[in-house]
Amino acid sequence: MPVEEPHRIVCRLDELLEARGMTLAALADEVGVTVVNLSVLKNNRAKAVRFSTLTAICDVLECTVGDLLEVRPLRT
Amino acid sequence: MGQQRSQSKDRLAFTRADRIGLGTLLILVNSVAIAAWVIGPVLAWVRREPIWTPFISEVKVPALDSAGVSYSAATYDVRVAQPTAGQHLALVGSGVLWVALLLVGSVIVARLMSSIGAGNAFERANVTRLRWLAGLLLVGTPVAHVVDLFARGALMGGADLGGLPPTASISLPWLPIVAGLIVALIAQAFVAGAALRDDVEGLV
Repeated sequence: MPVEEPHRIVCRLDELLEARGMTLAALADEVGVTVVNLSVLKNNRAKAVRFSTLTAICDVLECTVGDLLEVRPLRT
Repeated sequence: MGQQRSQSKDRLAFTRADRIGLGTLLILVNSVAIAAWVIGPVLAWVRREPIWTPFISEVKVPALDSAGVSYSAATYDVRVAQPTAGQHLALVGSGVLWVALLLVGSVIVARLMSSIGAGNAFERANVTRLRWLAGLLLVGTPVAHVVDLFARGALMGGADLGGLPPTASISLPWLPIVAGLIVALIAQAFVAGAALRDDVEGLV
């Protein structure tokens, strides 16, 4: 079993959807990804994101990757 | 072309019908093995019936020798008229060992089949299952074979061999050993598959 590598990526899909008045189901429909998978991304449970998925989400939400994902700073 | 290929049915796919077929076959094989290797010898013991056991001995056929025809040792079926309780026990014990190996192997295969059927071929448990199966074939089969040889040898102790000298023939069951090595190799492939699955889990 490989060691679980902790990451500090935070997904801001929730905020982006709220700002656009869009539901997760509607986004899933437009992006072509299942709601379950988008929910995994939204709740920061995803371990990796395909470039094609990122492109599609950014196209639909008219945002950049930086708007969607951010690296949480290290706690000191 | 690509679409045509993806739409065409995979004729080698291991479908639900195949799984049911293999499951039924395993049940049949186990039932026959229990009847032949355990129930049969126990009934023979209870009914005080004689035991028939194979016996190998060198033969001399002068007519064949003079004609230049080669031949090897002959196999006879020896009738042990009044086997002792110890001889019966050795034979039943050997049968129980074979049946136990077969049952455990069948359970492992059934669980593998169920897991693969559910789409979880590369779960970690399958690596363990395949390694157990390889162990059964590589170690269990030769051990059971040797135990069987000793049990048969014990039967020969009191048998009338008609003055024929027994031929010592010790051979290992190579087919299960090679099969065990192949299963161990497949288990290693499943280790890589399980690692890939771990990587892909959580991919959006």
